Amino acid sequence: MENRLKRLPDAELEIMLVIWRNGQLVSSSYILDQLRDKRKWSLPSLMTVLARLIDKGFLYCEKEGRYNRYCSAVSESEYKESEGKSTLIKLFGNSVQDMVMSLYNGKAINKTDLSELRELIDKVEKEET
Amino acid sequence: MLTSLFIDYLTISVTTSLLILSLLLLTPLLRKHYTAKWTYWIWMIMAIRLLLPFNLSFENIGIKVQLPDNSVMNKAIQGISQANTRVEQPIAALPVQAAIEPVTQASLLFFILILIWLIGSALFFSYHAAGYYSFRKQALCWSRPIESSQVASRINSIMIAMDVPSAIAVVTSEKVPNPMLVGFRKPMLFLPHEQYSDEELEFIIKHEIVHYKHRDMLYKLLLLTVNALHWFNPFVWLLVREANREIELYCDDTVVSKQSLAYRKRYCEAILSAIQKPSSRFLVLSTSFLGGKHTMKQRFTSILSMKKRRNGIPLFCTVILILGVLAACSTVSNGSDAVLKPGTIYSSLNGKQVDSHDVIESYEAQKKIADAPGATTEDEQRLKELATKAADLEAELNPKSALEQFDEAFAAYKDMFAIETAHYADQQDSNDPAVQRVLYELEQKGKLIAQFDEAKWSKVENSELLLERFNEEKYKLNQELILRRKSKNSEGQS
Repeated sequence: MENRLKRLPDAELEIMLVIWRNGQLVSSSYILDQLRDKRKWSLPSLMTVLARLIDKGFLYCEKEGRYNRYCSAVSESEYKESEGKSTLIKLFGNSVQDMVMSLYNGKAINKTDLSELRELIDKVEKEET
Repeated sequence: MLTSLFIDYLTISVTTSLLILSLLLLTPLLRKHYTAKWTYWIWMIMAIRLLLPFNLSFENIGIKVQLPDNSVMNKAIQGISQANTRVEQPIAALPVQAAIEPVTQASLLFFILILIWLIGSALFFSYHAAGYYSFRKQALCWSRPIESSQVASRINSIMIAMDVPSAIAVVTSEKVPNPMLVGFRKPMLFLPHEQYSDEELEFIIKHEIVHYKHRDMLYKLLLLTVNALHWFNPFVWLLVREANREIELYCDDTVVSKQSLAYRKRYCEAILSAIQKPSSRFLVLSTSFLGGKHTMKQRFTSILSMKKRRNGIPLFCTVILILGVLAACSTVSNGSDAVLKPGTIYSSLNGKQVDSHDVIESYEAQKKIADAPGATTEDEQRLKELATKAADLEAELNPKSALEQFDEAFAAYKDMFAIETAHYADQQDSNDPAVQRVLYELEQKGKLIAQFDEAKWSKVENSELLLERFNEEKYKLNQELILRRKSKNSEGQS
C-alpha cells in the first residue's frame, strides 16, 4: 500500500469510524444500526460503499458462514496522521479562532511562555505570604 | 445607491477610526480602573456603529445631545467646504475638455474602488465561513459522546449549578485543539479529550457556559461582519482584536467575580494545566502568531487582580456622548456632501471631501478636548475661535458688496417690469380704466429703471448710496402709485 492514504469523503469516513470504534469484526447490519441517527442508508447502497472501501484498501472482508464481516485494514491513528497533514484546518486555522469560544488560543503558546505564566501565578503567591 | 452606501461606510470608517484610536490609547488606563464589562460594551457599541450605514440620530431615541455651538459649527464647516468649492471650481472649470475627462476617469476609478471593496468583503466573509464550516464538519465527524460516566455526571452537575441544564451538548473530538464552544444557535462544547482533572473540568465548563450566557457567539459574529465590511481599515482590525480580548477578560471576570484570591489562583492553574495537557498529536497547526502569550498574561493579571475596579458608568456616558458628537458630525459632513454634489466625483479626486473631513476631525478633536472632564474654559474658547475663524473665512471668500446687493434687487425689479410690460403690450389702446392705470404705473416704473440704469453705468455714485437711493425711490414710487390708485377709486365711485 502507498504511504499516503487517500482522504475519505464524509460518508465513507463515518463508516470507518464505526468500524474503528467497535474494534472487532462487524456486520453490515451493525453499521447500518450505528449510523441510523446520522444518515439514512439503504442496505444496497451501504454494500456499495463498503465495496468501495475494500477497493481503496481501507477494509477487508471475512466470510463468516452466510455473513460478511468487515474489519479495518488501516488503523484510526494511521489515517488521522495522514489526514492531519492535508486537512483544510491547516488552511483555515486562523479564521476558526475568530468564530469559536475557546478556553485559550493553544497554538499561540509555547513552552517558554508557559513557564512565564507559571511565574506570574507564583509571584502572586509570594506577595500573598 | 451602492455609491452612497460606499461613501457612508467610508465616512463611518474614517470618523470612527479616530474614536478607536483614542480608546486604544486609553485602554491601559481603563483596564486599571474599570471592569472589563464596560470596555466590552463600549467596543460593542462601536462595532454596531460601524455596522450601520446611516447616521445615528440620538434625538430619535430620546437622548438629546447637547451641542452648545452646534449651529455655529455647522455653518463654519459648511462655509469652509463651500469656500473650498468656490476656490476650486474655477480651476476645474477653466479648461472644459480637461474638466470632462477627469470626471469620466474619476467615475471609473470610483467604480473600481467600490468593486474592490465588495470583492474584499466577500472574500473575507467566505474565507471565514469556509474555514468555520469545514472545521465544524470535521469536529462533528470525529466527535463522540463522553465515555466516562464519571466525567459526564460531573459536567451535568456543573451545568445544573449554573442553571443551564442540557442547553449545551458536550462531546469530545480529536479534531479540536482546545476546549471550545462551537455553533451559533445550538452551541456544542467540544473537548479535545476527557483526561481532565475535576478542577480543570469545572473551570473549563464554567468558562464556556459564561460565554454562552453572555451570548458571545453573536458578539463574535458582529465583529466578523464589521471586519468584513471595513476590511480596508486597520483600525477596525485593531478594534476586533481588542474586542476579542475583552470578551475573554469579561468572561474570566464573571467566572471569578466575588471569589477569593485562592479561587482565582486555582482558576489560573486550571487553565495553565489544561494548556499543558497534550491534545491530539495528529492535529497539525503549523501557523502560530505572536500575541498568545501576551493575551494570556493579560488575562492572568486581570484574574488575579483583587483590586476593586470601578463600574464604568461615567466612562460609558462619555463614550455615548462622543458617539453622539460623531453622529452629529457625520450628519454635517453629509450636509456638506450635498453642497458639493455637482462635483462629488471629481471632488474626491481633488481631495475636497478629505478637506471637509479634516475640518470635522479637527472639530472633533477640539470638541473632545472641550468635553473632557478636565477641560478648561480656554479649550472652549479655542473651539469658539475656530468657529468664528471659519465664519470669517467664509465672509472673506464670498463678500456681498452693496453693489452686488443693488444689482440683485435691481435685476429683480427689472424682471418684474419686463414681465408686466410684455403682458400689457397688446393692450396699449384699451379704454379700460384698470388697464390704463397699469399702463401709467408701468410708464413710471420704466422711468425709474432708466434713471438707475444711467446712474449705474455712469458710476458717478458710490455703490452704497446707489443701493440706498434705489430702495428709497422704489418706495416713494410705490407710495405714489398706491395713493393714485386710491384717489382713482374714489373718483370712480363718485
